[in-house]
Amino acid sequence: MKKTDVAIAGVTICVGLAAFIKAWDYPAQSRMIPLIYSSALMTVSFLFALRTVLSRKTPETADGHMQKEPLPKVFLVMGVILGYIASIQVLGFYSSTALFLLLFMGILRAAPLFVAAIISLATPAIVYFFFEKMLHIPVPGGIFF
Amino acid sequence: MTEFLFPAMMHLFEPQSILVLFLGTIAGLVVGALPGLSSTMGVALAIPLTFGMDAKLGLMLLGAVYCSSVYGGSLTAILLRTPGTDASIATTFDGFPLTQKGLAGKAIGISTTASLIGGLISAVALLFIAPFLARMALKFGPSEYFLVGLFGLSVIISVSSGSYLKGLISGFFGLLIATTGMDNFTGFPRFIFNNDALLDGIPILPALIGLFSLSQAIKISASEQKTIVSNAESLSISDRILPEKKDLLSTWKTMLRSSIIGVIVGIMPGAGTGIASFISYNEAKRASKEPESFGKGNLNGVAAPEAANNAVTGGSLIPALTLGIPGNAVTAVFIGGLTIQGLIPGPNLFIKYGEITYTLILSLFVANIMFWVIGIAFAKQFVKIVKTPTKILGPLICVLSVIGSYAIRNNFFDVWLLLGFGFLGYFMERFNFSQAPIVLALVLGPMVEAELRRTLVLFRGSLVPVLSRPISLFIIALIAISVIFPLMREFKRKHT
Repeated sequence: MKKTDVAIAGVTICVGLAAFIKAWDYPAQSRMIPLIYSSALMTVSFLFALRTVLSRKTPETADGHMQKEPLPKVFLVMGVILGYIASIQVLGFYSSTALFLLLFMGILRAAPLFVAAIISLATPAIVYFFFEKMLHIPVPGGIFF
Repeated sequence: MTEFLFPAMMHLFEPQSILVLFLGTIAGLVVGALPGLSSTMGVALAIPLTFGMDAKLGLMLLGAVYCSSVYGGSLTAILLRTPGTDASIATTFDGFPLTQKGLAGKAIGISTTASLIGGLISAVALLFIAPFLARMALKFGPSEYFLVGLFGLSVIISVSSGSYLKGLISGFFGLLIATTGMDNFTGFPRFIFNNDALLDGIPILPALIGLFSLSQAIKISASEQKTIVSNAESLSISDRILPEKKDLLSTWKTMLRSSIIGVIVGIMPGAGTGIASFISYNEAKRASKEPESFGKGNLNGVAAPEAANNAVTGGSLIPALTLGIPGNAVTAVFIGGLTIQGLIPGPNLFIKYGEITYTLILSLFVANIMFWVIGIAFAKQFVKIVKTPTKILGPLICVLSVIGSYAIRNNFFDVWLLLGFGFLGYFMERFNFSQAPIVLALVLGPMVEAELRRTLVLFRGSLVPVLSRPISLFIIALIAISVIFPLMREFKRKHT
């Protein structure tokens, strides 16, 4: 966890530095605030890294260890969601949603295939009538429905 | 004020208002009852539903979700020792022992009634204190608004319990993101990376939904648990839920005291429902003739935190509606909901849009009564919601998040933003970084920058004249208190 915290601080220092360099080219009036915020971000990130390195306690011993989700499964879930969003632009919201729900529940073995199929078909139908027809909230379109 | 009250009251009794309040209450109860799903997430997911609605109805919906989700957290706290939201942690202390004694219904009855009392008292406070504060805000100039914005940002220190540096990293990162888009003073585009969709800045709703909803959807979908709580099978309420007269008589003083504490804590930025519950629980124990019975199933131990956490709802809306300061993440989301309806928090909300604002305030009374009725009548059915499999709940939240983020601008780029913020939110939570500072920064960042630059123009590049204004000095003192107290509390905690 100590290494992770230092790595996170490293990332935020890089973000701050990149923003600082980018903002430096802006007109004087426009760059003032981004320069202040990026400098502050780098400073607090550096202090955080320093404190983490100098601290004898690891965050686990200080706050108690929490059970976390297994990372491969997290990346799998994120991958499926990414695929879902990418497919919406191509297929359209309703067909992508039906596919996504079926695939997601299938991969994670959430429910028997029959139940998963019902949920996958019922959800787009409910969204169509409730959001699009009743509340006039548009959903993203694509090649298909 | 009075000229708006009657028309506002009339709106409340329109059939569509009742329907919206009813649906909002049900949605809030579901979100609140599911541990891991917060009030913030409930309000964020409800915002897209308000697009197609009249502003009054939209705000009623958000108010109802907010109130009932805070109450909903008590159900699993009492029955399963698993608080639905952090507001109900203190409720587990005496609520669960009552369940073990077979008195779950009695505990739920008292918690529901205490929540009602807390909610009603906070709505009264909102009704009378908010207009007064709004009138005061009319005297504010750019320098005062800049300081008010800073005061709101100082909340980051309070909401970053555990590690202030982590909170500050989140906060400054959020402030940096908030500078994205066209500079309103010079017209120069900042951090847009040749993407025109970013010219208006980062839209707040996809960011909020990503940070609070999609991140939770990822979390619960990837978790090893089949249901959102591991001991969901042991749910049962066998006794009567409607409170008996003797129980009400033994708890009414606690309910009243805790409600007042809740309102005061709610007004203070950064404190929130969790802190109000603990303070009230402590005070109830201190005032009790039998403090040793606390933690073993004392009804006052249930009434105190529940009255207090619901009293925070109205209290926290006071600075949010009058000054635009979100005291916590959920009110930051609420402000997002207001702006989407074209309403900017501040004195104008009580003058120009008085009818809408007072309809919202009065609707909180109805929402509180509604969750009491539904809670007493259907608590046995509601608690079954925790048996919903996580692998079904997760993808459904994803679908709702996509609809919500797309709806505001009909721009698919916002769905990609949702994805980015969802991933960011998940990893922030995983590595114990609070998401609330980013939200506060996104809401307050543009205001702080604009008012600071106006102040600098007004005072010819100097901030020193700000110190000669009494209101400014008062706000500076509040900022100092807001920063110093949490730091002192943390210092004391570490050295005792």
